[in-house]
Amino acid sequence: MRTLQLIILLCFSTHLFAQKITISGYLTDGFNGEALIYGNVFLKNTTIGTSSNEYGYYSIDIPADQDVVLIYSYLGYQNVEKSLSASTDEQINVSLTSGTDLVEVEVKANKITIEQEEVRSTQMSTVNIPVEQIKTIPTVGGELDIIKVVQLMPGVTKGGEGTSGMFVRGGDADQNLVLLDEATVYNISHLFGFFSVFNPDAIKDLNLIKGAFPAQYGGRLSSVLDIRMKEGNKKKFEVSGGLGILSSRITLEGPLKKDKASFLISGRRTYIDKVFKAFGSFMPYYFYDFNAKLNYTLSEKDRIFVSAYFGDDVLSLDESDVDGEDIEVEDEEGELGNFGFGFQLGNFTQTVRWNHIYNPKLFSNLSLIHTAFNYDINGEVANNSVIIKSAIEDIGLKLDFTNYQSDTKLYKFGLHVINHQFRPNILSFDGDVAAFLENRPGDKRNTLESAAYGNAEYTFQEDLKLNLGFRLSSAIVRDQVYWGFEPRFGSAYILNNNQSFKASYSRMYQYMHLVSSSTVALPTDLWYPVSENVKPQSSDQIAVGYEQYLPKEKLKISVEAYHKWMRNLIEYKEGSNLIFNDNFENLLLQGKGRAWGAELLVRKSTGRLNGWVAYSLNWSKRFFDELNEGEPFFSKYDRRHVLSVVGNYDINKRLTFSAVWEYLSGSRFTPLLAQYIFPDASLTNVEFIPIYSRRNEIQLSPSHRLDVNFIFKNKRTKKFQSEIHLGCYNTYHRTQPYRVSVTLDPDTGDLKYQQRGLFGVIPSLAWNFKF
Amino acid sequence: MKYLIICCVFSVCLFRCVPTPLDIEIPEKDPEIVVFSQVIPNTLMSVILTRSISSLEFSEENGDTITNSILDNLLVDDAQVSITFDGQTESLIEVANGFYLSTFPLPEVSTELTLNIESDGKKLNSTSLLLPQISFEEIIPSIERTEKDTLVSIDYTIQDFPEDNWYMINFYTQGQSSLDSTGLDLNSFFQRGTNVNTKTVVVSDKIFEGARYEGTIELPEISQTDSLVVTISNINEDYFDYLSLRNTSSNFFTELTKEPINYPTNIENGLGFFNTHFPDVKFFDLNEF
Repeated sequence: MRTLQLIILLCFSTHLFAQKITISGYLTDGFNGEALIYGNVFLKNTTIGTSSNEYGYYSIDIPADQDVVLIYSYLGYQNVEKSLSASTDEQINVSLTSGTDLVEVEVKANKITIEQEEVRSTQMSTVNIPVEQIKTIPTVGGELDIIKVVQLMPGVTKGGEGTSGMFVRGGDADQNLVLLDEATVYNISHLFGFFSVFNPDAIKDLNLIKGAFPAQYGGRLSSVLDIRMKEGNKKKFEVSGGLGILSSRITLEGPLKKDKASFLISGRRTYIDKVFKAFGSFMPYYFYDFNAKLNYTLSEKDRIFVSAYFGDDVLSLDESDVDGEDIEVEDEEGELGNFGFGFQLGNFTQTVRWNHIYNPKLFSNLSLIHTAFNYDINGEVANNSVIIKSAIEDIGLKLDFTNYQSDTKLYKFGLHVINHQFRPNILSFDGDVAAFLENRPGDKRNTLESAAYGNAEYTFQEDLKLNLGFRLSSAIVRDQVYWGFEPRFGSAYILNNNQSFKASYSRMYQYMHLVSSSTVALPTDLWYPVSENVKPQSSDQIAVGYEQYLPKEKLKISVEAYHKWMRNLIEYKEGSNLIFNDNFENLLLQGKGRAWGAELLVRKSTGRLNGWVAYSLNWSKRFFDELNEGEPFFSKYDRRHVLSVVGNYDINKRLTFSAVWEYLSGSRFTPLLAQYIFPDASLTNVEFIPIYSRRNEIQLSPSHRLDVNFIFKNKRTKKFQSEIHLGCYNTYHRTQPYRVSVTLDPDTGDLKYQQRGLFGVIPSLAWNFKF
Repeated sequence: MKYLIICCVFSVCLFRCVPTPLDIEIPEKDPEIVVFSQVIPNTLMSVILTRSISSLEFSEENGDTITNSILDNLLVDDAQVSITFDGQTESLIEVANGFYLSTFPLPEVSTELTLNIESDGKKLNSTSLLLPQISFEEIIPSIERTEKDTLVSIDYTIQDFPEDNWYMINFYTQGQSSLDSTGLDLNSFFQRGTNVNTKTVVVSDKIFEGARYEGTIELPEISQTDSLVVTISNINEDYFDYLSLRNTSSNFFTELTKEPINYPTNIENGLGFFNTHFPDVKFFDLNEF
């Protein structure tokens, strides 16, 4: 009982030993009024400090009636020092002015830098990427793809060439929670994975969490990618955009009421169809997307944000599209019919958020969220038609509180409720094809997913920080209720301001999964909820790490090792047909997984030369009684070594060179080893029956690639800024494996297995502007 | 703008320039012996032995076709084949390349048969019951004729055997040529290449609610002049699993996306099936309905 009393006293006591007051406020960009996320606020000559939250809000205790200096800092921005002597709580909003393009800010004595604060934090297995810092990185078509950048971080591996699939710490593609302004994005790619749906001009910041999950996050086993849209320039009207080879984009932003309200509208469309057509090729496909955001400061204590994203992929092919001539297809009776094929993928998110400050120590955010994703495929050949539709729609509410209890105690707690409505595979067939394919209405399924969480961060004697949290999650599906208790733990033992050891543990539950073929990536992969028969996936992950910041070299080094145990993972029975089926439960198998490995990240975020080196060593295994004769097997994207080197170098004020070199061990596949002939059931014919290897037995060849990019900036005037990106993807023309095929060797006449790539060297040219 | 267009042209040209594919070394799989057997009730058992071939020896995708020379290479013609039942072992004789035939009377149904094969130092075996023949208790075609189509549906009833059973029903059609003055000719009906398999249905008695099962099957695209043959066999569970998997995974639409599958076998140390079933056959001249 005494122990309990002591804990309660420890948790909830404040200002026991000294009279303190609270300084709080918002940290913003002085140029455009955007909130600065995870900025630093420190009391000079001490290690007492705090960080701004996702909305730029901070709260820090200082001694009352004493002369103190608060230092406000943010990467790439000039520091601001505020001297004050206050006797009561005050709200101080601070604007920082950006330095000159990631200029090296002098490290002053007695100041904790952002990197040092990261070293001192309990948070590990996390990478924060401000979009402004990665805009020079070379990409296909010259347009920044933030998912491709995330794939260059340690612990993240990708699928085939160009794809947006992420496999984090040995997990599967469906174990990543991707949030755009807190709304779940179910399909993160355009053009079958070659472009991400995130328009870089509309994005401010992204945070990748691979382990040590804070308690406010849940619902996926392997990672959270939390992406925040820009709020819109509060100071002045601004237009920015870009023209690229494959797509163009434009963004308008500006104040609706100066320093009170702002808006942002951003649109992007590919003209890949037009480009191909202009050069005699054929690509009946395009995509577009649209981001919009409004924010309004109601009062010092209340802010409202409304954000939306809408995107579509459209493929439409009919008889007039090929050589300008009608295609007519003869059916078996010799009658002519039409030909047509098309699909449409639609993503839609809406978020309304209300920030409220109850008092300087209690900040809250209420989010109302609506997300929808659907696809619609239709095909027509002669008198046959096929229509396949699928949809998922979420309506949710999140209520989050942050209590800045004291310099040594920070509490977060909240409640999340989301209703998922699934309509998997509505199938409609007409014509002869209807004889062997069954129409299905697409059974509507509702899942109510909810969670309550609490998180407490304590600092003990300045050298030990603990983060203790829990998340109680549940999913209600028809007659079944699933509960999950998810303890979270993080710790940092701080050797000094530049060195720390960290350890963490997280348990995660996942109440939905993606129905996708392991053999081919399709846009038709669809989400499916847990049910009476399909249990939730869950995982336990432990991680230990060491972080060091080298102030002189401005290098942050992070080394981590992790081990993850996964339960109720999803695989499909051998030979399963996933497309023309809405009864997936009969095809599903559930088993276990285990992944372990080590990661190294050396990152320099400022200076003329900046970038990072990321290396991961991974193992990922699966255990399914019904697969591979019950023997363990490696997961498909069990890539043993993944190394990426990313560098940006400012040659002078107007010219920047950027390069990415990437090395990946081959993924795994199940090849056809042999075949035999065997009579069919009616004995009227013989068939070739395949003999495959053991599951994922063969490792493909490693791949590596160098991309480069030159950025030429115009003379900066106040009115107009522009830059030309001249880049090259896959500079030394190395095959980036995309698929495996059996081909005829023209020299020997023998058949052989080969890995084919889609593209070789691809130059890119893009022009970006802002005024 | 001019530079943008030049760059677009250059890029599209390079888009079409694919780097040299990377070769993958796949371990060679030693050929395995594949068994297919058939029972002619109270008369004979035939066994056909073939070999599996490497996926790199033959590829339909690359235009390869089955030729007689390929078939000759596949047939296993040096095997010792015998069947053991009721404590005695009887050898089968090779009557053609890879084709082995019994010369002894087959035992009664429900007798356990063990197939023994020895070839190239490898020993294969498989054990199966000589399964009792199942017959339709009742089977009636019904025909709905419209101006454009003839829709044939078959209503049938099966009296299930005790214990667990698995049944295979095949539907065959044949044109007018197989009819003669005395009716349908069984020999010509089952000559390869002249008959057409319309549909194969496999059914497990686990879905039967009682001992008696009534089913209906629709057969599209049968003209009213066709004859129809329906066969039913009592098959073993392994073969039922195999056929079920073939039904779900050999669909044209799913060929691209299906999960890799290794099909089951009841041959120890080999592939294929030691089948010991034999069908009951029903003939229908649809003109009579």
